[in-house]
Amino acid sequence: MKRKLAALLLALAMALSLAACAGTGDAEASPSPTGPTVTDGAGRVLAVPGDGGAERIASVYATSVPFLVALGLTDQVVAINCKSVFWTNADKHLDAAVSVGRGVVDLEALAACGATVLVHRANDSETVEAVEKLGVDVLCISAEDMDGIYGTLELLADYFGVQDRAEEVIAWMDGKFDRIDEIVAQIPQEERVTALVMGSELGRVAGGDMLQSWMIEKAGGISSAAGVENDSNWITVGVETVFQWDPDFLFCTSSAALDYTVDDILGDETWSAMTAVEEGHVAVIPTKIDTWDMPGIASVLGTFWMLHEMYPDYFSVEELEAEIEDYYTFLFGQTFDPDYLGYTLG
Amino acid sequence: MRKLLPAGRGPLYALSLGTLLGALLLVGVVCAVCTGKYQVSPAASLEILFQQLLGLESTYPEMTVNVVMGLRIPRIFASVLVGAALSLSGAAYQGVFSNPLISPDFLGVSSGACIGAALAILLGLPGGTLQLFAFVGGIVAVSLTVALPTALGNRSNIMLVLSGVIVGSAMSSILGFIKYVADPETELAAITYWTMGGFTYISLGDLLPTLPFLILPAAGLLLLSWRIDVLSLGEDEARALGVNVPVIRGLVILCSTLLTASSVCIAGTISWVGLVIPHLGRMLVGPDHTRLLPISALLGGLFLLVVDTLTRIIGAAEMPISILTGLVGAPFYAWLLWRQRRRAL
Amino acid sequence: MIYEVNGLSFAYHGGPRVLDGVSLTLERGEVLSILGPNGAGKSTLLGCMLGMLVPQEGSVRLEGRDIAQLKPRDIARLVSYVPQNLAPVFGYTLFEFVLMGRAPLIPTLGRPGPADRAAAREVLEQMGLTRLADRACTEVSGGERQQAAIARAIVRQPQAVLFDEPTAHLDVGNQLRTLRVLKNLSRQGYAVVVTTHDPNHAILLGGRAAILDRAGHLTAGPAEEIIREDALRQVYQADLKLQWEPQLGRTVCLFPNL
Repeated sequence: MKRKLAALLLALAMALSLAACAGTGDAEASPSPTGPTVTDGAGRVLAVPGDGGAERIASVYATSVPFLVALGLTDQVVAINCKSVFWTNADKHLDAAVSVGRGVVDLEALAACGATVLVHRANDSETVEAVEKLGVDVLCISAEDMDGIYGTLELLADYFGVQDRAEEVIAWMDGKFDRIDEIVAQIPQEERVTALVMGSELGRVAGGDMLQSWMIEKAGGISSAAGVENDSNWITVGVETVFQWDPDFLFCTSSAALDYTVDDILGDETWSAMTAVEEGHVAVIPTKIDTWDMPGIASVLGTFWMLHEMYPDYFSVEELEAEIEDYYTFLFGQTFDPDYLGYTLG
Repeated sequence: MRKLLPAGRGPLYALSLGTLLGALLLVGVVCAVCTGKYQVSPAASLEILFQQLLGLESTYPEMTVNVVMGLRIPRIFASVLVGAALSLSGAAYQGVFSNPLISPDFLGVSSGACIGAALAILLGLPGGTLQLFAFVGGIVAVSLTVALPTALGNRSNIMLVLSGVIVGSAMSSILGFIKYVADPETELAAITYWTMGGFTYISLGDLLPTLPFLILPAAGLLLLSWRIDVLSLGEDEARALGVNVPVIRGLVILCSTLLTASSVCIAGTISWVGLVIPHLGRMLVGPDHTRLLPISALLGGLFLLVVDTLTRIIGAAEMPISILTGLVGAPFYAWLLWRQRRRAL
Repeated sequence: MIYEVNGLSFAYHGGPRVLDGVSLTLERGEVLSILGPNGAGKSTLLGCMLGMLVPQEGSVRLEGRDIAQLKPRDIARLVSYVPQNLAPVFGYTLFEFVLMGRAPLIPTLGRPGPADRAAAREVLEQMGLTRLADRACTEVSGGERQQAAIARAIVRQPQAVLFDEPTAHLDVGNQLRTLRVLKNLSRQGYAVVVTTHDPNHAILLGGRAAILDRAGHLTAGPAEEIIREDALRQVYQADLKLQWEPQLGRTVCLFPNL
């Protein structure tokens, strides 16, 4: 009898909790904004802020940094989370900005820095809700692939009113990719090589749907990981699968910390029979402090670099150096020492 | 355990200590309302609070009001409630299992709640659903732990503790699997952050639905507090003293589990509070649960309020609260054990 | 008639019979010493008499009612139990410790009232423990803890008190004091059941005695009839000697030479 009572109590408690928590789930429908709007990377419709008044931008999402730099929006940035010192060294506005968290937002710090808009990743509704409640707009960006990169440039341009600069950047990128296409077109089919981008640990690779694989294909290579996908995420296929694929070129990402080195792979007996190891075609994608294989404008540079690595006869080291110089001049108005950035060519 | 203060620990002593702690808590709350990274003078903070409470027209900018009413008040409210709930359930669990070394999550509430929350994150469900998943996950885990000894035909305390170990390790494997399939950039980060616990994104809307699940079980435990004394003598002695052990123990577990699950629901898993605060309470007022439970609740609320306020003001970006509770809790616990090295607990 | 045990048989899950057809009766003011070697099932018998263990056969009647039909609280009002080994985890004061003996008289959600406190103070006084009332039960000596446990057993004024080897962990001085307390309890009208493996304790307590052998059979009767040399030798498998001691005016049980 008493046990029945206890069971009943428990059931009642569960039912009550279901009812109670269910009530909190539904978000209030925001009134549809009047005037010009944009649809952000999370599919939310936002009113474009007033006529030309400078915004105060905050972000804890490091991916937003290259876009803000490319569009010349850094003078409006008040709080930022950069992936490395490269960005804060290169841009005095980013250097002056405060931090309001890494990944997660410190709400009161966000309020204290007087931000008017938070640029954030697309799949974090919890943060969006909390920040909006504070009275700060949230602009979600989604830049997983090349379409996303272009889309993010256009979205930020529309929202912050810098369409002219965005057109310049897009035209520059289009021009570079056209050049790559021209070079690749000269490479005969029988000379095409296979390549793979490996992630933070051995046997963890960029899936066929990731930007890194797109870059391999763009640079005229054949992606070994084609068809292996994990929702645009790194995927651990295991070392054996990598041996099975036996790509001609093995590139290691610079977007995450590696728990191995190129010398580890080249010196390891187990790996010695791989084509890429035999030929010495194992390399980390530049650079230590800038990242050429992250979603952003630098993916142009990453593609050029892969093109040179795979087909040096069609795209020489001098041509690559010229492209690197052009990229940094275009974005930062200056060039950087390879030692400082942390890469060597050839 | 030997008490910290040698003076008589009669009802009057406990009452005056309770009043003192209550007053400290009130002062703490007022100080916390006035503290934070956003520049609001203490006077302005209090004025905003009173204007809002009395429904007056606000004379302050919207952002300032949002910071005080939308950020600080819910956090303060939540940290006091969670601290009190965790300490209360910790003290009750320790009493009912006659074991001062167990924490409120030893039956698997926290790990179950983490799985629920991680699942919700993995499925990309909205905020409110995550809380529900966490709550249900915690309850399911404890139900499993409690059901296992019955299924095995041995319902002793030690069996229940072992069952907690079994369910706990099964849960951590499941959590490991969820983490393994999660997107490391986004979902995994969210799961990790959630399991570390904290009050970052708390809002009154999240808090209010959990109130009944904090107040009712707390009242239940306070009503049962003297029975917990008898139960803490051990199963056989309690039985010989006429206590219906399975029923009373079941009720205490139910109340404590609801308290812990609601806390986890609000703030994720916060370590050390439920383990250490009851010890401190016992040092102050002795093991009698009629005094220990209310004193632990007050101490816990005060402790978490102070720690959370520290996390709000230390450093450029907020640090997870469990880091601080661990930093304070671990040395304190070591000190306790050192003090009692030649004594029974 | 307080206790009436009839044809009790008990075996732990899947094990051999620990008790086999045990019968005994107990009146007010009587002392019953249950003798037996280690592992003979003395504690099991007490468990059945407290309603904690459910026998496979036979019945235990408490004040004429079947114990299986009684709630733990009703049993506890009639019978107190003093366990063998007291190892309290929490340091309740002796006063709080003794007060818990009132539990069967206090509603589940209630707390002890003035009457309960007065009763606890009185029993502490009676046992000579008043000066220790505010000491933690984890900090007093084993003998003092034993006295407190007895105080806790009688604070609710039950009909019977069951002791499981009350002298097992005590030095000889404390053993003697404890036996005196037990004898006193029976004089006050409590029915007292004591398990022990020392025949001398049973002889000292007098009254009634019972021997429980390894097969689970129980023989009960007046102490002087039950405690006989042949019976002791058989049940303990040792050459014990019973000898009349004229100065003490009673029989003593002696060890043979080694």
